[in-house]
Amino acid sequence: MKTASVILTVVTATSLGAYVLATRRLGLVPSSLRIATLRLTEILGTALLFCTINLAVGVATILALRFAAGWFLSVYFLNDLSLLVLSGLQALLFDSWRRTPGRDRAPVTRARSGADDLG
Amino acid sequence: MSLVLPLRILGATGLVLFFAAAFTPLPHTLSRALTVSRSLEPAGAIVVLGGGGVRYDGSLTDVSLRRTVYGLDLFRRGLAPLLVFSGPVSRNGYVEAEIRAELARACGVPPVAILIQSEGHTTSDEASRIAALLQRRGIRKILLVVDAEGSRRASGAFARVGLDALPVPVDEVSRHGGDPEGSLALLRRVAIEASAWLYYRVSGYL
Repeated sequence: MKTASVILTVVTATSLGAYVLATRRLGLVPSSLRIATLRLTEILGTALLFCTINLAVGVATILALRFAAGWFLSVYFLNDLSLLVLSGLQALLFDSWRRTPGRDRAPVTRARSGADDLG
Repeated sequence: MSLVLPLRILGATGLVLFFAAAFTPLPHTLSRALTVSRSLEPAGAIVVLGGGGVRYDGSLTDVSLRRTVYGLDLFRRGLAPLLVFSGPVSRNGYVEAEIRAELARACGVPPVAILIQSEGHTTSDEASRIAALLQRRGIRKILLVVDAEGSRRASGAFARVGLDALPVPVDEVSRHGGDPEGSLALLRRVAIEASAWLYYRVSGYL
């Protein structure tokens, strides 16, 4: 458990340092930390969702190729750390996009029917 | 419909799972639950299951090499007169079973004591093909060298084709290190094997 203790000590120390710096120098308020934590769980949840979907689509594709096309592809191809990292990137991008102002809110216009044209 | 609350719950669950996996003995407990081990006793053959394959330079991967060495050790201890190496052809054209057999011959195992199986791609496929090979020789009891977490699924697959398989688990991820990275790797193996076991149950391979 030595490695774990060292890692946890370092991360706790830098977190405390960041907290002090943020509140004293950067003007951040402690109460907004709760909102930031909730946002962190949202992004993590999105990443897990993307990861699950990526795995499900991957496994389904591999099994479909096995049974329908007769090609053998190992499911272990999906056992790669890059899938997790890419899912995290998908989640970050999706979250940034969701929070970026300027959604397309163009009013839905009814298409004019041929009857209208005929007047 | 707002996805915010479900995403927060999922994220919080993931966070708790991460800390439990990295900093508690949870992965080790789950790994032990998936591992089947029986005491070593003489058998008709030692079967070394495929796993890990061959690297691009033609050498065995760490996983494959570890299982091979374990099989050689069991043979050297006189636990069976026959060594069966399994492992398909890899993408680069090397056949895992043949490279394992070559290593065994280089270590002094007589060629007549070595059998290879290079057609099966899945554990169930390997079990069927190896059973066909061994039952022709009247062998019904084997020592099965397999990764620890896969031992339950593999021994079940061999039992289904009529072989009494005594699993000899080889730890592919150390269960004794206790460092966070090793624990996370172990949890990943547990998750993969638990899913594979469930798939085998649902598909009737067990």
